[in-house]
Amino acid sequence: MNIRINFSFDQTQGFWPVRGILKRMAEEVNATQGAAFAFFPISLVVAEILNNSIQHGMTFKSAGQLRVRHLSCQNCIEITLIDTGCAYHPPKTPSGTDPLNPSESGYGWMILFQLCTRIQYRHKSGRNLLRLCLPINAP
Amino acid sequence: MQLKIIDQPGCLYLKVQAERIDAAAAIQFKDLVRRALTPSLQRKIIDLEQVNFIDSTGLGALISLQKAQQNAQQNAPNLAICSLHLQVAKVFKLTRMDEVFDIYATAEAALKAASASPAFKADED
Repeated sequence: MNIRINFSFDQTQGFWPVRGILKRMAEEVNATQGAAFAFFPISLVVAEILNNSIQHGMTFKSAGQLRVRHLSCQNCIEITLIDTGCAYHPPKTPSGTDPLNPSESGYGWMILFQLCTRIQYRHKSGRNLLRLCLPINAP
Repeated sequence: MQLKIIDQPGCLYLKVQAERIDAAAAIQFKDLVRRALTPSLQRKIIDLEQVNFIDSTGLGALISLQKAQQNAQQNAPNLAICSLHLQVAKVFKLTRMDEVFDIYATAEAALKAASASPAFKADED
């Protein structure tokens, strides 16, 4: 599996590309891996990183590329998101939830920290690069 | 997205008729449910049987609804959520939402628990 999906985002037109990107990714994963492949954790991670980029990092008009590939040597799926939005600041550690006083936000990074073994971010030359490693046997 | 609403003594049952509660749908979901919920001690059940994908924005919407209920009505019970799809249940577990809401495997189980609640008994008296 080695998928690359280019996308653009135009907030002035209310364009929210996440569902379309997930649909394209599902079609490509089905084509390369078969329908039985456990796609849900990948789609959840991709949805969360795209939501985060769009909500916090992307300017009114922006573009990006999503890459998803299988690293057999590490038995994981490497997910990379490159976009031209503003820099953002991923937390260094996962935030916790207090079930007695739960927050209304922060669950996106919590999900990513729970599912992924490696999260790397850098902002360079006007581009964000976020790379995550999702173990094949993720829950 | 639509809601099927059944208002019965002691219990308000809302069935979400959509496959996804994600960033594109979370605001509409929150508005629809908020309009249906009235401040009371009545047990509220949200049936997610048809929902096969939820992300962090969907979870945030559910928390917001629960907080609004509890702010509007002292001692309001937790929202009850039932019929979680396997993948949705995993997201609840990952984020400990299964400790925040009262989760039931089926609508029948949630309705049965509601009928045993003090609010139901008060409505019957």
